[in-house]
Amino acid sequence: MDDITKNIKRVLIVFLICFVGLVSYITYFEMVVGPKIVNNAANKRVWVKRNEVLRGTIYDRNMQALTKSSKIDSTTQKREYTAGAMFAHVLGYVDIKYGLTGLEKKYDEQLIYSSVQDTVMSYIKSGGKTQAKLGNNLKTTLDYNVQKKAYDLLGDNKGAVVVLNPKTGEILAIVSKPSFDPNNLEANWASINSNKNMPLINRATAGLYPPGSTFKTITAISAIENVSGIMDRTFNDTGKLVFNSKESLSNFNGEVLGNITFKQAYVHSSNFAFGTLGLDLGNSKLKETAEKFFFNSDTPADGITIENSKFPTLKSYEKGNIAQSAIGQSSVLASPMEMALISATIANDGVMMKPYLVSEVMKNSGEKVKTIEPQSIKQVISANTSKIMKDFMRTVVAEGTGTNAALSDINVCGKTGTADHSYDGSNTPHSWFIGFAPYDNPQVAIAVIVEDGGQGGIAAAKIAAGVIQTALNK
Amino acid sequence: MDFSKLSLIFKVVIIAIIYIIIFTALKIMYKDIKGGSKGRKESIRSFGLEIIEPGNNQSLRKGGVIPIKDVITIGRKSDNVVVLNDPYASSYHAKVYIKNGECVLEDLESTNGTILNGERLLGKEYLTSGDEIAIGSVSFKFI
Amino acid sequence: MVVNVLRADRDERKLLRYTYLLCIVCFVNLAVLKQPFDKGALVMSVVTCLLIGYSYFVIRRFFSDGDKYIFIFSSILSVIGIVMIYRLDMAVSIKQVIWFAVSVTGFILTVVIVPDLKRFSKYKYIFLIFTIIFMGMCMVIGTEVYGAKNWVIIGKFSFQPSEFGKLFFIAYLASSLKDYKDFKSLIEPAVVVMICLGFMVLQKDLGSALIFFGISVTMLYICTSKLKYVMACIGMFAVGAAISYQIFDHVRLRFLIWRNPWSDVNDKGHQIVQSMFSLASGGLTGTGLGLGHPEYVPVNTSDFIFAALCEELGILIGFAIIILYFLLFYRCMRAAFYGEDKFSRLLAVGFSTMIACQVLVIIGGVTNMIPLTGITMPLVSYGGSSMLITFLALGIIQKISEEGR
Repeated sequence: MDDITKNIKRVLIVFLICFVGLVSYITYFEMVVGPKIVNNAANKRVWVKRNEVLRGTIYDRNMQALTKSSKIDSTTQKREYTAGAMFAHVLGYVDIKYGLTGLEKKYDEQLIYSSVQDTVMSYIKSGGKTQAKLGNNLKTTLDYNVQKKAYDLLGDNKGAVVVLNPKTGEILAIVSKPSFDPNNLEANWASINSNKNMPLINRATAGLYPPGSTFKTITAISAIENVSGIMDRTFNDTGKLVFNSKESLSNFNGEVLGNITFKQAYVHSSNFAFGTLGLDLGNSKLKETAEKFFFNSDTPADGITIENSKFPTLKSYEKGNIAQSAIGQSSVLASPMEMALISATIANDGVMMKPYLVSEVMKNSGEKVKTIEPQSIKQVISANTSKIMKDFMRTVVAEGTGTNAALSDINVCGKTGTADHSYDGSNTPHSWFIGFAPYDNPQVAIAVIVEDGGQGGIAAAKIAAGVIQTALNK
Repeated sequence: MDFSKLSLIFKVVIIAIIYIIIFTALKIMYKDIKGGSKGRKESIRSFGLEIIEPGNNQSLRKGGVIPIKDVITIGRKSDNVVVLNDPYASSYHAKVYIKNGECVLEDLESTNGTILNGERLLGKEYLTSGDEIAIGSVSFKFI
Repeated sequence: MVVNVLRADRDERKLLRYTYLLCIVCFVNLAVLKQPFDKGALVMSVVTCLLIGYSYFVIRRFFSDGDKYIFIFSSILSVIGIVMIYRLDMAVSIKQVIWFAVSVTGFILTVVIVPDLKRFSKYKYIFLIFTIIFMGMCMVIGTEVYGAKNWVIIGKFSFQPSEFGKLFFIAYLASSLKDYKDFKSLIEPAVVVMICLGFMVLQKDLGSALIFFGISVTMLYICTSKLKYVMACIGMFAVGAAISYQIFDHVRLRFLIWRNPWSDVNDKGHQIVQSMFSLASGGLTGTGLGLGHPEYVPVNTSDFIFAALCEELGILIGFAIIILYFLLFYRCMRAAFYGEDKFSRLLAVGFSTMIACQVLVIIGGVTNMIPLTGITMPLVSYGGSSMLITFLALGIIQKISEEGR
């Protein structure tokens, strides 16, 4: 009998240990595992909690509302994008099934922030009344009119347009086509995803293309900085730069430009001259200049994510590739945003400003919560180099390949690019234009790419002209 | 007024009550453990066996009352409460104990049996006041 | 003497009064949730309090020797269950109260009708037959519900025979082990245990298998005091588990989902993932009744009620429930402590362990400490047969606790 009694005591202790173990595990779970998993997308509570706050509105720079949120019931909200597909990429969408993208994702915390808390204290203080929870509103730097113009001018083409204020870094427009309707995601999701043209990608910030001749801007800068006497240099453009028995580099359409100066080589986009310059500079010097402009690294930005543009590392015997890289071919890839930043830096006397999308965060009542000031990233090139490039780019539009971008009352400056991408299996090159305006006291910087648009001087340049006009006629 | 938010206050109250219950229970259990086997409940009524007929036993006197506290064991062996010097009785003949506030007489499978109110007792029976119990030459009355 | 009684009385009454208070406060909370006032909730609280009060009165009046705390702790747990189920689903809650009434009646009847348990120790083979019948019933006429083939559905009425089988199983083990002399006398019960475990695994009722194992090992140790037997059993269990992992898909599945529930969030891992979200959302004191979202947790009125409770009333409630179960377990083991004959003591140990193991397995499963199995929380979860069986077992323990005095 006594044996059993002793054993019972022991069993009690064993079970006590088991129960204590259970309690400890639950404590561990709550303290360690809990916080990690609570915000998982599969947890509907996260969405219910988010929906308690009426999502804030996003405005353009002139306080035109780009979104509208309304509560359907206590757990779901409807988000309407007043301009539909036009702002689809830059604003993004917020959906319980498809997640968050774009600005909606970047500033999600602000848009669902509410100072009204569900605690006992606030309940007592408010006298038992339920207070409406309203998220903060955002005033962006976007300009509805500029965006619309760019969107319309791109028409049925695929491509992108980026418009910046070179002095402040404000983003006035980001357009990517093809676009999609963010108002009816559920209904259109299948067709959106099966569309071979991939409408979900924001081509302005994530699309990487060979920049073609627009890259000569970088090569020119590199030459100005590294090649002595470059300003007085002349080239004998025979139309074809030969490396060896197998490889050579030709001008567009085999054009022969003859004896030209450095400036003329830029203005008329001589592949011969720039190919030669590329060989003179060598891969490491050219890469160094490109990397100053944030090729191969992350560009600081607010409200957007910029895909890294790429400049290859080449061996010294790869002469063909080195020359090609100097004219923005070979394996050089750049995003439209990157090219716009290059243009903006030149316009801003060599100082690159941080591109940002949101200028103010406000409470629903209008009270300002936060103001975002322009920030400079760094002085990329000297003011003197910028001055030279500015002049070159003015001449491109006045006399060179970019005449289609000219406007009657504004001095537009820029560079065209006709990017061959036959590695894609395509015969028609991309049409590029990068630039800024006006020459005195630049207000806007722009980059346009029309996929398979043909010559840069035609399709992209015309679009750039139209957009610049709208941007400057406010 | 939206009363549902009152749950925020209620939940604390509910948790408090449950923990008060737990602490009260723990206190009681602790007292119980400390009390050990002394923690048995005593019944309000007191019971006894009055000796009617002592028979052959010198140790029993007629009219004496054996109080029933927990258990009264009756038999020939000397470790019984009531020792019967009677060949008729078994070593462990019978047992009287308190259960649920009543007294129970149990026959411990004795050889010659226990007589309750004139009939042989099989197993156990509740005792009511006035019952007569006979074992061998001894008889008791339950009071 | 009189003082002792009164003091014990007073303690019990105090606890009882707190139980009433708990019941009323909880239902008032539930009542305010709806606009303007949910009268049903208040009615429920009154009904429940009356049930508990009346049953306590009956037990005290006629069977004052037994351990009344067993009933009190059980009713506290049942109250918590009824409150939470009411918050989740009113109709189910009414059913639960009815089952509570039925089970408590069963409890009282058990204490009244069942004669001295020592007598039953002789019916070893009858227990054995009933055990095999109930355990094996599902192999023949069982239907699969929620992945476990341990339900029998006759018309509109469904029950789990393994729950009844548990009672007979423990009775058989107790009557068999009380005659323990040496190793040879263990062979027969060992075979029976293994057959029952086999049935459980084949019926995919892994939770019950675990519980059976726990009960068997505990009873074995209690009566033999030989630690090496316990070790041997655990070893065999490990081997058996490893083999069934290889052979049986459903065992492997449970194990894999336990290790990484995130691998299949929407299908196989859905239950445990939602349960974990629910637990994590509660914090220390929970969200408050009616303010959380336990409705996202599947099977929230039975298996996962622990998660729902922790979400709305916090981890503190979880701890409280575990402590209450342990107190109940302690009280039941205490009956074995003071028992007289081996059979009754083993029986008490068996039933107590049954409840304790069930609690460990289900809370462990719901929090993903051990693989999830489909069993209920005794007394708290919604489940007619579960509550009835638990109260029947408690009734027998109560009976045994009387004898000890």
